[in-house]
Amino acid sequence: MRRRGSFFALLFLIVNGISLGISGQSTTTIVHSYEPAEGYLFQAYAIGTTTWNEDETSQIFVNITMNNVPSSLSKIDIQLVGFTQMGDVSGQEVAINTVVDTPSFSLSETNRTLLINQTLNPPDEVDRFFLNISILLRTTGTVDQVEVSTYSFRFPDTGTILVSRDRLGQLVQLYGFPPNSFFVAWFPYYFGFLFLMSFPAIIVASDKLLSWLREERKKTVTDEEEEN
Amino acid sequence: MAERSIQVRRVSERVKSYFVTNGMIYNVSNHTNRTIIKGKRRLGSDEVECIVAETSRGTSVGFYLINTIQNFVYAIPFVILLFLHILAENSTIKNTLTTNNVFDINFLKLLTGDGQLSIMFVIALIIVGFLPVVVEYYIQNIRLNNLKANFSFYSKGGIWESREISPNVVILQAVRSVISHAYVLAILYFLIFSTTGEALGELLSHYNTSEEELKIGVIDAFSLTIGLIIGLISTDKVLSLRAESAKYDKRNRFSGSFLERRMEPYIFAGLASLVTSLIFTFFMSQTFLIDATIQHSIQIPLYAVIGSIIATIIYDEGNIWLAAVYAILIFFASLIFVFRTGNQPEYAYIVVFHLFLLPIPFLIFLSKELEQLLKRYDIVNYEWYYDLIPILAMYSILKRRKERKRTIIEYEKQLEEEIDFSIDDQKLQLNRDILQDCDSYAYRLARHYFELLLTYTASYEENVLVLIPTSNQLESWWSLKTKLKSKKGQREALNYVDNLLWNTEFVPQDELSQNYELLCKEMVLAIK
Repeated sequence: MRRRGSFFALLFLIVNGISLGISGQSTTTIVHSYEPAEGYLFQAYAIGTTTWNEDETSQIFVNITMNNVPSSLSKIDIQLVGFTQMGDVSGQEVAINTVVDTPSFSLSETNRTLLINQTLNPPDEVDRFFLNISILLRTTGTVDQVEVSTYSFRFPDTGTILVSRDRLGQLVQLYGFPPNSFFVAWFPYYFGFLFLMSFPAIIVASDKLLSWLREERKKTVTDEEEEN
Repeated sequence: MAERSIQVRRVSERVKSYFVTNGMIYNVSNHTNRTIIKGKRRLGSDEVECIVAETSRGTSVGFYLINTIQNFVYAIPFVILLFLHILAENSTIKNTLTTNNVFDINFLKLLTGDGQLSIMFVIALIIVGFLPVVVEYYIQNIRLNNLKANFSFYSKGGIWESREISPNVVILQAVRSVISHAYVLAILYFLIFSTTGEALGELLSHYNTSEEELKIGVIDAFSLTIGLIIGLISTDKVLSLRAESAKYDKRNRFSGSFLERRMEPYIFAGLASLVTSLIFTFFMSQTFLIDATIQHSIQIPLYAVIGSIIATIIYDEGNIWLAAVYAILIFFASLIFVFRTGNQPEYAYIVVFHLFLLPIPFLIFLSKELEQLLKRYDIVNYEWYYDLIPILAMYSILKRRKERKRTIIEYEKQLEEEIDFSIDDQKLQLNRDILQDCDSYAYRLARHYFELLLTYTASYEENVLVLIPTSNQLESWWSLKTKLKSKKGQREALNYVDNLLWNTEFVPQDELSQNYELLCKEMVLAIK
């Protein structure tokens, strides 16, 4: 029984450790498909976590697949893959950050799948946001016919990405003492005013000192007289 | 010396003692047909002139206020501020004042914040600068009227009750020093914005903030702390001033129900701090707090009232409590701002800044120690409390010292003259040989002893028969009058003189006479 108990305890710990190690839940978007021409299918989906840690970069994967490429196209270039962070700032959806990936890959018949890996920083402005992934596609025909088209989709499909912030660290943020130039400018006036305010104290101290000196002098005079 | 009639002499003697009982120092000058007695208050710039003159209808006595021009001292700093702003209309002077100077500081901004020369600005300066002058003049007039009204009672030996100064005037009297204290704190708070060098830029980058945000943060912290401080200080000052003015008025103590008597100081002090903070807020709204919102200007009076309630609770506890509460309030104010630093990093600067304000309350505590020193010079007055530089208190100490030196010199001169002892005693005659020599210690001892005896008898009414006191009685009377502890050997000295004067078989010793002469002289001078 003991062994079994310890075994379960160990298992529990390991499972817990693993689950703690995973920083966020990984989600995959539905496959977005576009049909630029009849039969020609262009598909893309993104994989990533929906909880991003503050001060850490998060990875997002975009998988692009091409099917039934028509023979009229000689070359397909993916020129840009843009990741735009859209957040709710004062009631309006605003683009906060845009990171652009320029893959130098071209899709031909031999290479039909492309996996793009992008690391992104969480935004400082908002706690909840979503990504707008847009793809710029450049197709070249057999007779040098160049056509540029864009597709975009949302990550995640519904809901938002949550930025988990360390609330305790944010509550108190002290930057220590001011720089030296501040003290150089401020201290003369500060000590000047302190000096002005301590005038009464100086008078009291001087009066006490003077009376003490007077008594000391008297003492020495009487001592000398006694000696004589 | 001019001839004076007996009536004028008698009245002027009365006026002299009247001035002394009212806490004044007098100075007499005689003219052909009148005597002018100038009385100066021991603390303050009050100077009253009393003219005693012989007229066809009898002797006339008139009291007049002189030297009221000294009251304008209080307005000088604010007149200078106004003058600086007028000078700054000239562009070259403005340049030297604001940018091109060695101190790297914008002096206009340092002293008046963002205030620009406008009608409201001038009005604010005039109110803050000339209010103390007007109030002082008003109070001097009240004192003069009291002097006039009570003199006839005094000269007839009647009992009179001095009218107390109205509480409204006491409140306005306290405004001056509280505002000067708060103004200095305002300069310290907003000093960083008047620097023209790199100090502000480095501070902003260090604290990761912008100038506007920092300014709003400083205004926020300033309006909180200054409200509490104004409440504390104005309460302490106003209650002390009122206690002074109503010292002889028993009506305050024995009127109203218990609750009313307990609640009354809170209402009075709250009102005082409210008035002070409103005047200060108006002044600040034209100078340092131009960027502040209406919320800040409500904050200052509100916190002032809270501060006054705290100060009234601890009023009887003494100075060290006040200093400690002042420090604690600053500390708690910065504690509030610590928790705002998360989202607003500019408060991190204020938290550190408040640390440097902590020595100020303890300096104030030391300044109240001056009270003890003034009491030693017979000056019991609270007008100078919390003044930035208590010029009047310092001046009055110097005045008193000079006066004391003069009396000592005069007394020394008196000692050289020959006296004839007015007490006709058979036994005294026997020892006269020793008392003939003016330089001998025995002679001087006798002089001191008679001086003490004369003041002792003079302290009683004229028609009361006074017996010659024993040395015990004389000593206890002396320590009561001077509020000093009797010294070692004092009684022996008095006994020694007693024997010297009346005991025929007594043989004086030179050494003892010399020692006792010093002691007796100190006793006489302490009474003078």
